[in-house]
Amino acid sequence: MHISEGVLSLYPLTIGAVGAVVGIAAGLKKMEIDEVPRVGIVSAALFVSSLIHINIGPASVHLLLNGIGGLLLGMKLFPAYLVALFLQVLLFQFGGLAVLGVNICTMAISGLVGGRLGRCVIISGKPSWLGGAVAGGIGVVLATLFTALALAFSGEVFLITAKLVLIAHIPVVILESLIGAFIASFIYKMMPSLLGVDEK
Amino acid sequence: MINVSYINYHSKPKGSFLERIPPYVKLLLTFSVAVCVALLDSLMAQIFLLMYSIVLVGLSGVPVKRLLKRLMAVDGFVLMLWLTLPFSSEEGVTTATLITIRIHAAVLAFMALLQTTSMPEILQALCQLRFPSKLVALLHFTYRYIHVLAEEASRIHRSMALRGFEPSLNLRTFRAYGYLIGMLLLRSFVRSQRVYNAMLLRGFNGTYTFLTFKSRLSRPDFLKLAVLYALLVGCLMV
Repeated sequence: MHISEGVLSLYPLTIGAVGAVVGIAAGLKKMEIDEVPRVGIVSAALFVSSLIHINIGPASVHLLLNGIGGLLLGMKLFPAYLVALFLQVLLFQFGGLAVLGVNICTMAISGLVGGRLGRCVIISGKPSWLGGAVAGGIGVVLATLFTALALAFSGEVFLITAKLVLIAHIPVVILESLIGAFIASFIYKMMPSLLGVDEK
Repeated sequence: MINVSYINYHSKPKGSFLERIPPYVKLLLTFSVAVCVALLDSLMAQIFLLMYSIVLVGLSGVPVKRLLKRLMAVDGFVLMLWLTLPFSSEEGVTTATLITIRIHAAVLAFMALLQTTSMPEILQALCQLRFPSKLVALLHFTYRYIHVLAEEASRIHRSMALRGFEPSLNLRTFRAYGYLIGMLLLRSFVRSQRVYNAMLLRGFNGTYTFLTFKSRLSRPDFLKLAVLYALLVGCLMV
């Protein structure tokens, strides 16, 4: 989910840019140089996965996977999203450079919160699929909320658009938490260390 | 479902003026255009910027076919705006017009400036502009492995199809997609460890040396570049 260039007004753009710079600085500080290949390749996997189109009836939906990203990468999700969204501008002309900050914030903050909550669920001994569902679902819910907020802050003209964004993403929330549940349980079975939890 | 050719990186048009100017200058120009498009509120200034972008496209030599294909994708979104905005308030039509011009100006400028820059050039430019080296390395890795993993994903998908997987609206389909993505993440993680070990063996110490590209800027080119920047400053005055 991203907002196109030229839509938002100065106020949300500035907040987004400042938030993104802080997040990216924190993320880079946490990332050692020997982690760069891992973060890069995992975020490439997330990038590719989010290009997969899943058909729900007549409509085709693609996943955000920011919650799962938060589960796997933590704070490093900020630089990962900077890179991923920049590549989207470069390869598909989706999004834009001036809105990059807003888009990074909406995706990374929501993914981070979703991922953290999901990890809490898994560490507390609940089944791993529940953690994945929490991460996936909350990631989308928050990302949608933030996007709608950014639109609403850009002027009253966008209130209807913001509401439409919220409504249109209800099925995506369900889909994303379902698939998130399967991803997490799969990874938990195959390689629990990837989720940051020890094998029991 | 996953179209690999879709994410194949552009082959840049050779011999155009924009292809010759140094990548970091181009990157700065791209960013300046993006900021101008975002900040200027008057319709006149935006129309000026749109014409500016069209001039850039003219200088870039990007094939018209590719240009139209990209614009079609963008115009889907613009259409959606026109379907919602005019009904939401009185200034709806004005806002929609302004946004339409803005989006086109931005996309055309991005295409003209970025499609004429190869990825190694962009990495080098980011280094020269003093971006953190970890960030540049991250961009390099993600870019490199998007292509590898897209192929991996379509390989997994193909093997699913050969085993009789047919997507429909049920839990089994979602499980299959979940496992596909999980598998992709897992393989990517294992691959990253292998790659890192290989890099260590070849003496990776955390720094990057990129190939350097010398710019071949003749005097007329330099003048043209100066005019481009002057025009952009001019649009601030409109």
